[in-house]
Amino acid sequence: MEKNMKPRVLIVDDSLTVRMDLEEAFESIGFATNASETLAAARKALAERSFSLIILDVLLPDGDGIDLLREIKDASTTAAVPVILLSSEAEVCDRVRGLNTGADEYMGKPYDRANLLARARQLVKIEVQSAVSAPTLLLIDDSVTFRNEFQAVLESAGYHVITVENGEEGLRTIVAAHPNAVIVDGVLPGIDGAAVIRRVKDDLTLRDTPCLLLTAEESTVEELRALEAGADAYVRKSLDIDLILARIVALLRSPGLHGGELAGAGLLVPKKILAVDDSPTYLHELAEELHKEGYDIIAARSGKEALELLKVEQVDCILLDLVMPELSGEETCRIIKKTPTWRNIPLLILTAVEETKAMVESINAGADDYIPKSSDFEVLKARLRAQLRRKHFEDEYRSIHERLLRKEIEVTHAKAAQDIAETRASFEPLLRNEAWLNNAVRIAHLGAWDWDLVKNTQSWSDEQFRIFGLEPGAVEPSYDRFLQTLHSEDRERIAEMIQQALAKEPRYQIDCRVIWPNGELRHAVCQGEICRDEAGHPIRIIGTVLDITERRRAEEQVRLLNLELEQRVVQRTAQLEAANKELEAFSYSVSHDLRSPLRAINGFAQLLMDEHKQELSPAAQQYLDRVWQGGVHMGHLVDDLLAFSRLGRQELAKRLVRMYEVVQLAIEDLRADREGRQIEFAIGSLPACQTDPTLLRQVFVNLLSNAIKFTRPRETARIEIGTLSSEERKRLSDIRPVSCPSEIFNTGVPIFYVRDNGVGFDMRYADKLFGVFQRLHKQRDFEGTGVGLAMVQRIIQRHGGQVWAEGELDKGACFYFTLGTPADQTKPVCAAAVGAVL
Amino acid sequence: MAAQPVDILLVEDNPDDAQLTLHVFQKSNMPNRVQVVEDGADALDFLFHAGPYVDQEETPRVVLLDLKLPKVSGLEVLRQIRSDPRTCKMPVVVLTSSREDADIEKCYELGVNSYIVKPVDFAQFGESVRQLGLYWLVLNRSPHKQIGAGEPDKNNCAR
Repeated sequence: MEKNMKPRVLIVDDSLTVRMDLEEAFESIGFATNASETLAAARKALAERSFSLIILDVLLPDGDGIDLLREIKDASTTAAVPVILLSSEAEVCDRVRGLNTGADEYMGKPYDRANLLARARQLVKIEVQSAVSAPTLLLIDDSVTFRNEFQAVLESAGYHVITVENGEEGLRTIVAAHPNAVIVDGVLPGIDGAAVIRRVKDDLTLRDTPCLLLTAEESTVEELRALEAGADAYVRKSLDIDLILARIVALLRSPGLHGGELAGAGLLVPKKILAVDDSPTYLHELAEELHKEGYDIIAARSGKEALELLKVEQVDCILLDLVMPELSGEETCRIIKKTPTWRNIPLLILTAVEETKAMVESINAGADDYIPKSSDFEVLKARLRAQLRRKHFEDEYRSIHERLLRKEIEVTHAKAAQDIAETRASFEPLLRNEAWLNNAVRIAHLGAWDWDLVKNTQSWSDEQFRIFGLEPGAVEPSYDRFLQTLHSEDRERIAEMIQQALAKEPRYQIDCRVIWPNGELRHAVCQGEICRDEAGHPIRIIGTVLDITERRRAEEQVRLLNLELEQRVVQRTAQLEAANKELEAFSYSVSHDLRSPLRAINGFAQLLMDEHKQELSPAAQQYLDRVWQGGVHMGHLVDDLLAFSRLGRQELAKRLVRMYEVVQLAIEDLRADREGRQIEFAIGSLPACQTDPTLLRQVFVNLLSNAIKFTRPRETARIEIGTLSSEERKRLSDIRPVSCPSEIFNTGVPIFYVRDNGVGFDMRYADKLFGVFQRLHKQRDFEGTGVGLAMVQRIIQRHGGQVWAEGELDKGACFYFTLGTPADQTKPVCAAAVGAVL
Repeated sequence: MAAQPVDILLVEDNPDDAQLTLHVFQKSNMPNRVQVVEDGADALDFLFHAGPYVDQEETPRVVLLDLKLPKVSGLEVLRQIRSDPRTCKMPVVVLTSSREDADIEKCYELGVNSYIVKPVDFAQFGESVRQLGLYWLVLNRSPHKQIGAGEPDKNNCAR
C-alpha cells in the first residue's frame, strides 16, 4: 500500500441502502470506496485493483460470502487484506465459520456505523504497522522435520521465524527475543506446551504475546488444557496449513494483542455481549432489548457454541443461561472461568429458577452475578452496566498497573543502558589509549614479546608475527621458533648473545636478519629486558622487535650514493690532476722549445752583425736589426707568459706581512726602470696583511713599473701608494665599477691603491686592462707585453680579493685592490709578530 | 771514430744551439776539444765506451747536458752517470732552456754540479758559455780519474 494514497475499501453487499450508507461513511473518514452488489462484481474489482479493507456480506445473490473470503485469504495478493464480515446471520456457527476462514471481524446487522468505522480504522492501521516489519514467530516443537517444514511455510508467508526444540529454551527465547507470537507443540519433552503458555500468560510483561497451541490429534482434554493455560488459539497439526496460517494472521491482528493501546478506547466502542440460551425466543427478545442500549449481541444456542465463539472472538460480557441441554450453564461457566484469557470476562448467570441453591452454585462456578430471568430487563441492563464498569475499572487498573510496570522496566533498562554507557565511557580513554598504542606499534613495525623463563613459554604481539612474515597466531610462539625465523648464519651468534646477556646483563639489544617464509630478507632489532628473582636468576624477559628493513635499505642507498660520490670525486680529482699534468707538460714544452728557435734567431742575427757586418748593405743591417729586436721581444713574451702560467699553479704561502716593506722592496726591484727619471714616491699608511709576500711583491712591482712607465712624459712623476681613508671609500663607493661589489666599501677590508700622474687611460677600455696580452698603448709609445696587469689580477684573485682601476686620458691612473674578505685578515697587528719580508 | 782527447762532452740535440756553443768556445780561445752527441743514448754510449764508441777511451773533463733530449732524457743520463762508479764523480753541468723549478730541484737531487739556463739573448748566452768553460776547464779542479784504471772507490759515489 503506497503511503500517500487514500486507503481504499471494497464494500460487497446486495442492499443498495447498505452500500450507499457505507460508501458515505467511509468517504467521510477519508477512504476511497468501491461497491459491489454481487460476488462476481467483487471478484472483478479485486482483480482490477488492490484494497486496504473489504466489507463483506455473507448472503449474496450469487453465492456465499465465505467462499469469497476464502478466495481472498488464499490468494497471496489479497491474503493480508483485512476483511470485516457483515451479516444478518446472527448464528454463532456462522460467526465461527467466518472467523475461522480468516475474517478479521464479524459484525451483525443492523450494524452500528461508528463501531464499524472504528474497527475499520483499527484494522487498516494494524495492517500498515505489520507491513513495516515482518512479525517474528517463535516455533517450539521437538520434531525436526515438522519444525523445518513449518518454518519454511511460515517464512514463505512472510514471517520471521525462530525455532527451538524444547520448552525451556522456548521460554528463554521469548524473554530474549519478544516474538510477536508463540506457536508451541502441546507435547514436548520436559515442560509441555500448556506449561509454556501458562508461564507466558503469568508474566505481566509477556502476557500480551499471543500463544497458539499445536496438537497432533483431536483431543478435547488437550484443548481444554491449552485453553485453561491461556492459549489464544488452538490448532490441530492435521488441519490444512492455510487454515493454520489464517489463524496466525487473526491472532496477530487480534485487538487483544494491543490491549494497552486499546484499553482507553474501551468506553467508546460498543460492548460485545455474548448471550447464551437454548431458547431462541428469549435470545431474540434479549438481543432486541440490549441493542437499544447500544450493545452488540452475539447469540449462542448452547454452552458448546459459546466456547467455540470465545475461541475466535473476544467479548466484553457473557450472559449465560443456567439451565441448558448438554453442557449446562454451570459447567460452561466453570470452563470459562478456568481459562486464563476468558476468566476476566464478566459473566452473568441467567435463570428462570429463583432459588438460593442455584445462585450459590453459580457463584461457586465463578459467575460474577446472578440475574433471575423474571426480573425486569432494566434490572438486567443495570447489572450488566455494573459488571461492564467493574470490568472496565479492572482493565484500567490492570492497564495502569502494567503501564507502571512497563515504565519501571523501561527505567531499569534505561538505567542499565546508562550504566553500560557509563562503564564504556570510563573505559573509553583506556580503549583509546590501547587503540593508539596498537596503531603506533603497527605503524612503527614494533613487535612486543614476553618470555616466561620459568615455564619457558613465549607470547608474541600480532605485529611481532607480522615482522616475522607470519599471520598473527599462525605458529606457537617459542624460543626455538624465534631462532628459526632468523637467518641461519645469525642463529648461533644471537643464541650466544642472549645466553651471555642472561648471565649478567640487565638488558640486551641485537641486530638480526629475519628470513620470511617467502624467502624475503628483513632486518630487525631485538631488545630484551631481563627480570630476575631475588637470587638474581633470570625469570622473565620482556622485549620488542623493531623492523628496520626500510631504514637499512635507506642506509644502504645512502652508502651506495656516498660511494658513488666518492668515486666521482676521485675520478674528477684524477681528471684535474691529469689536466694539471698536461698543463705542466705544455708549459715545459713552451718553456724549452719556444726558447731554442728564439735563441737561434737572436744568436745568428748577432753573429751576422758581429762578424759579417761589412758584407751587409745598410738596409740589410737595418732588416737584421729588426729580426734581432723581434727575437728579443718574443723572448720577453714567452718569459712573461710562463711566469703568468706558473702563478696559477703556485701554492700561496701566506703569512702576516708588513706591506710597507713589500712596497720598499718592489721599488728597489725597479731600480733599472727608475734610472734617469725624477720620481716622487708618496707612501701612505699601509697595514700589515695576511698574504704571500713574494706574490704581493710581484703585484707592487708590476703596478709600480706601469706607473713609472706611463709617467715617462712627466717631468716629475708622482706615484702614491696607500690605503683609502673612510672619506675616500665613501666617494669611491658612488662611482665604483660594476665589477666591484658594494660589500667591499661597507666592510673594513683595507683598499690599497697605486696612483700616478701619468698618461692615464680611457675608461671605456677599462675592462680590457687586466686581460692577457691586452694593451691600451702603442708599442712604440710604451713597450710591454700586456701580461703585467693580468698577473696582478691573478694574484689578487688567488688571495680572494678584488682589483679595479680608475683613469682619465692624460690625467693619471689609479689602481685599487683588496686582499680577500675581513675574515682572511688579522686586524690588530703588533710589530713584533710581523715577520721579515722575504 | 778517432781517438782524440776530449775536454767537453756537449749533449745537445738542437744543431743551432750546438753550433752557437761551439762558436763561443772557439772565439774564447779555450781548449776546444768538444765532442757533440745529439741524444741521451749516444751520450751514455760515449761515456761508457759502448755502441759506436766502443773503441774510444776518452773521459771528458766536463759534460754539458741538455735536459730535453731524444731517446734518453737528460735527467736519465744524469742519473746513470751518477749511479755508475766509473763516472759518478764526473762534473756535469746542465745547460737548458727550462727555468722550471721542478727541473732545477730534480737535477740537484741527482747530483748535478751546476744548472745554467740558456738565455735567449745571444750576448748573454755567449757570456754564460764563456764563463762556464773558463770555470770548469781552467779554474776548477776535478778528482783525477781514469776509466778502467784500478778499482773504483764506490764510497765516493753519492749515488
